[in-house]
Amino acid sequence: MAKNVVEEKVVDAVKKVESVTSKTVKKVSNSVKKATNSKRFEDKADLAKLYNYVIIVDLAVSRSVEKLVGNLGSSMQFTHVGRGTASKEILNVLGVPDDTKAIINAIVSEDHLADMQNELTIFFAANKKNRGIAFAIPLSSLIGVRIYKYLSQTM
Amino acid sequence: MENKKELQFEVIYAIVNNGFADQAMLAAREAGAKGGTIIRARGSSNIGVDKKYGLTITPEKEILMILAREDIKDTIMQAIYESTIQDTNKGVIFSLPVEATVGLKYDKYQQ
Repeated sequence: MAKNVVEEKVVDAVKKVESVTSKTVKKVSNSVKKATNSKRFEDKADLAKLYNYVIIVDLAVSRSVEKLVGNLGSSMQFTHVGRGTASKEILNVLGVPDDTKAIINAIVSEDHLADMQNELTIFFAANKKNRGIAFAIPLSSLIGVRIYKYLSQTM
Repeated sequence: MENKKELQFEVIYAIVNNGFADQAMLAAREAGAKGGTIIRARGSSNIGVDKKYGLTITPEKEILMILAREDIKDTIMQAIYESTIQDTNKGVIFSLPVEATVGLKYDKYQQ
């Protein structure tokens, strides 16, 4: 008699364990499904690569470069001031009184990169005062969907 | 036109103490760099540490930016390190790959 009672208890316990494990398995599978269904922005959207376009020109022409870059599809630019490394003797020979440079950082998407490169080539060749260099550094990561949309002008 | 496509450039950033950028540029020139740009900056690693007589001493820095060919980049970085950073252990050099370069005289950079 006592043996039967023990057997029943064991069977009950096994059933309980089975129900608990099946519940947890269901929970985990549901959460996995949710995670796979809710796609992130970068999975859904066709992302354009962003670049930090660095343009180094004389301070005197920095405003016009900023305007040019802004018109060519860069939504954000910031400028800081630096100086060139040419020696004073060379500057005197060339008749350049000041070697203060403006370093313009413009965030550009890859769609606008070729246009910007072409326009800047023309700008630098247009006048001796307009001489400068420019290069693009690819951005590896960015946080914020709205910021990305603003910078890539897909808002 | 072909030459333009072959050349790959990198931008070298050397962050050194105030007054050392010219020395670094001299070494870089000897190693093959054609020119650079210096930006003044301030360090932020030890805020509030250097306070004397109620005055905060700001660690002033200079950032030297050099656009160089990829194949001589390491030589330039090594030269800057040996001339400026090795003795004092103060400074950082790193390089970043760049694309879409404009305004470089490619003949000058091919030498």
